[in-house]
Amino acid sequence: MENGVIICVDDERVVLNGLQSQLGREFGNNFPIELAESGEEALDLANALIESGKNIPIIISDELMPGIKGHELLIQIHKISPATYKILLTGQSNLDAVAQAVNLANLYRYMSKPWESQDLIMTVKEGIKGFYLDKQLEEQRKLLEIHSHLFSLFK
Amino acid sequence: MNKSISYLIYCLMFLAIFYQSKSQNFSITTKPTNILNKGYNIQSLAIDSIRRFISKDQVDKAIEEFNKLEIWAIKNDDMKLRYIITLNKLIISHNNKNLDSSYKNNLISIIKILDDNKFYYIKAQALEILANYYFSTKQYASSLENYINSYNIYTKFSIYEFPQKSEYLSEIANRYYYFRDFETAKRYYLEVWNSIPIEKINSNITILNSIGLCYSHLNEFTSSNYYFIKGINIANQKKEETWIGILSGNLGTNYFKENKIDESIKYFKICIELHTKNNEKKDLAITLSKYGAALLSQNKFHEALDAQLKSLNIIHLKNFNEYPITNIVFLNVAKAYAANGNFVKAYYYLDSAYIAKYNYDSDRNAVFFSGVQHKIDLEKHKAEIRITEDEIKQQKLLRNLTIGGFIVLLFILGIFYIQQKKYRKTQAKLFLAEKLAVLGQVSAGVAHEVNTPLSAIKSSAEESIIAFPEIIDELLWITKNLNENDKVLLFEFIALANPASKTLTTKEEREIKKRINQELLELGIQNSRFISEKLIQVGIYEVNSELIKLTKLPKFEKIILFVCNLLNQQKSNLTIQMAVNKASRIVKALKTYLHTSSSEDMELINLKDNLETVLTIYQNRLKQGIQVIKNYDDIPDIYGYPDQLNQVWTNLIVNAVQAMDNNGILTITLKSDSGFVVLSIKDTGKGIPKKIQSKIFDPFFTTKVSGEGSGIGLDISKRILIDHKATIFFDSIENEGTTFYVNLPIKS
Repeated sequence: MENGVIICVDDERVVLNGLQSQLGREFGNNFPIELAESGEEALDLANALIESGKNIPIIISDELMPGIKGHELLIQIHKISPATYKILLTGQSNLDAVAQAVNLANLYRYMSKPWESQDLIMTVKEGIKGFYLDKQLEEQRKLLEIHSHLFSLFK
Repeated sequence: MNKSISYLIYCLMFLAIFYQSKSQNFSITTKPTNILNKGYNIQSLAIDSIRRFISKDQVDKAIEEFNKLEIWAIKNDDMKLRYIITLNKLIISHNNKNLDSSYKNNLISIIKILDDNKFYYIKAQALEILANYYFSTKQYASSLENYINSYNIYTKFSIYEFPQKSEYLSEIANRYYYFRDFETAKRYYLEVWNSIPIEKINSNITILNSIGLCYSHLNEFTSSNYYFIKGINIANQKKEETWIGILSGNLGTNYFKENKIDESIKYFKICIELHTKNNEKKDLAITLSKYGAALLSQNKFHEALDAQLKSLNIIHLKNFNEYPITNIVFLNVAKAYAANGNFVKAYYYLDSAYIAKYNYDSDRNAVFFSGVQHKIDLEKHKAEIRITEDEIKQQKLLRNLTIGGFIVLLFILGIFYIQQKKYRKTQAKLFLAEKLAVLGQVSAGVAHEVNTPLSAIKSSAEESIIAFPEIIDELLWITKNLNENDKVLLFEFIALANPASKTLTTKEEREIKKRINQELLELGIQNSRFISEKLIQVGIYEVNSELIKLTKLPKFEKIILFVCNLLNQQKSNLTIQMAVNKASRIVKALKTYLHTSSSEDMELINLKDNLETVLTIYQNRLKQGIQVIKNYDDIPDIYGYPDQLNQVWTNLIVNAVQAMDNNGILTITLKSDSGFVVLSIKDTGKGIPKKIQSKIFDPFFTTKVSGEGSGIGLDISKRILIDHKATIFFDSIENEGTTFYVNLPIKS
């Protein structure tokens, strides 16, 4: 579970503060909570994290932001980190944006503001669990592949 | 002669009263006995009155009796009888005096009253009396007119109520004859003739004579002769020698006119014989003269002169110096003398004849003109009635037209008013609809803008609630396990930490977090990453000496997490405060924007605030790529409708943002310029193509995709600005941008 970072993106600092408090209490011990005030910053951050060998199990993003919109950011993140569980957390969004995020970014959840803290915690928890299960599955599949490869060599 | 006619009329009138009372069962015999006993009987009373009237000595007595009768009439509320009495009293009272205009006026006023009370029969009688008055004062035309009016009323009654019909008709005919309107006179005479009962025919030779005379005057001698001969036959039967004479004379005159001299001489001879016998001197004189003229035309000069001299002799003897006679006789005498060679005498009589002829003609002309006058009056009267009718019709038409016009006008005004009202309503609705439509476009952002602070408030509050029991526990632990020095150190550190000291960007925080994490690591602190994150969260951006001292404490992690928890309470509250401010700002702007002024009056507006409202609502949209530059000079407040102006700015800003495709620089400038405030909104968008520049203020003109814009934004804006006496214009360069200018008068 080490090396995982949770990223929160919102142009409103007050929202980021709220997210930081809630997620920090629940997951802070195991997962650093990184905040970004724009899509651009979030992308830079994600790239940097991935480069330094970190995982991004969860990214929570607002939709309406100056510059890159939430769904566009998630599509970009999907390209660099397809396994990441992506959550769109927004006060208002048009259906197109959500549909694009679902289709092109494999959106995990759409949450509306204001959110239920319990709902958020559970969602993130499940996301993290899913992310690592996926990761484990992938690793085991790779192991299996190696095994079968070795096995075929013996044959 | 006048008097005799008057007497005749009075007789007729009382006769009429008698018949009237009879026909209407109005008989004095059926009335109270005391009156009967005293012998009051309308008929006898009337006859008595006439007698006294005629005798002239007992007028007062007659009036007295009428007074008695009048009292009875008053008692019995018999209006009709009262009017009859009034009429009679009027006639009697005027008997001794000359008939003057007061008499006439009284009569006319009585006629008016009778007409108002619908006592037509008495009215007819009164009209008759009036006609006689006119006749006696030589106003023949008026006389005839009233006579005819009277007759017209009488004819509506039965023959019993109007037994004197033929007398009336002949009277009218006489008037016309008198006016030498022989055609009309003939018509009336013929009517009389036809209306006379067969048994009475014989007694009406005079009518036949009159008809004959009329035909004669009209030169219809055959008809004339027919009636004269008919008259002669009847007169022969009745042995009315005078009438035979008259008719023979007239017949002779006809033949003479027809140039049938022998026959005329024959009838003249009969006439002369009979007139001589009956001593009808006047007629004899005329006939002798005519006879002489006839003889003269047969060249019997001596006999002719003889006859003329006989005629002349009678005239001189009887002093018949009447022009109708002398003008004929003198001329004939002159002709006879001339034929006999006595030219001196001839000239003398010719001269006399001319004088007589002149006088006769002027008399006759006077009457004739009176008749003509009557005809003119009659036509005038008819014309007046027609004109009056036409006028009434015209007035009616005019009135109807006026009323109709007025109604139509009212109708149109009503429609106009309703339309105006509708229009105003529609316009108001349109304004609101457009306002809401624009709001709809921005409301996507508004919902977000409100939900964002709401979510921050919610999460922060929840965090505080969860943290509170933890803090209590931790506080308890600290008080138990820390010595006094450490406690002081800890609370000093907490007191000095200021969570709201400064706001850094997330990027900056990340850098600081890295540094703190590094410093903590160097201090050998476990879980430094988590601790550094917490420190950053509560605004502790440096590892100071106090913190280093704290790190030396056992259970540093527990202690520092308590610190962060505690400080985070404050941070949460500050977050809530910020969020509430933000939310309330938006709600306030929305309220301002949606507020529709109920008052008709303009109010003072601070344009900067007014613009700020729009920018706040539109904030969400603007922050997605628009840089807003505000160049505000100090400008005075202006008078206007704030909600309407909001709408204008919104339209202009929304258009600008759309023109820039959400990417560019929006420059808003406010400055004052000689009595005006000039507001300009400049975008760096694609500009307005030249060919549509003239259309952009047209309603329903839009370049936007269907559904995105109504196309009435600028139209409404312009109308609102016209209400403010403001002007709007623009500069646009394609691919460089557009600037809209609004000039608002400071004193409006």
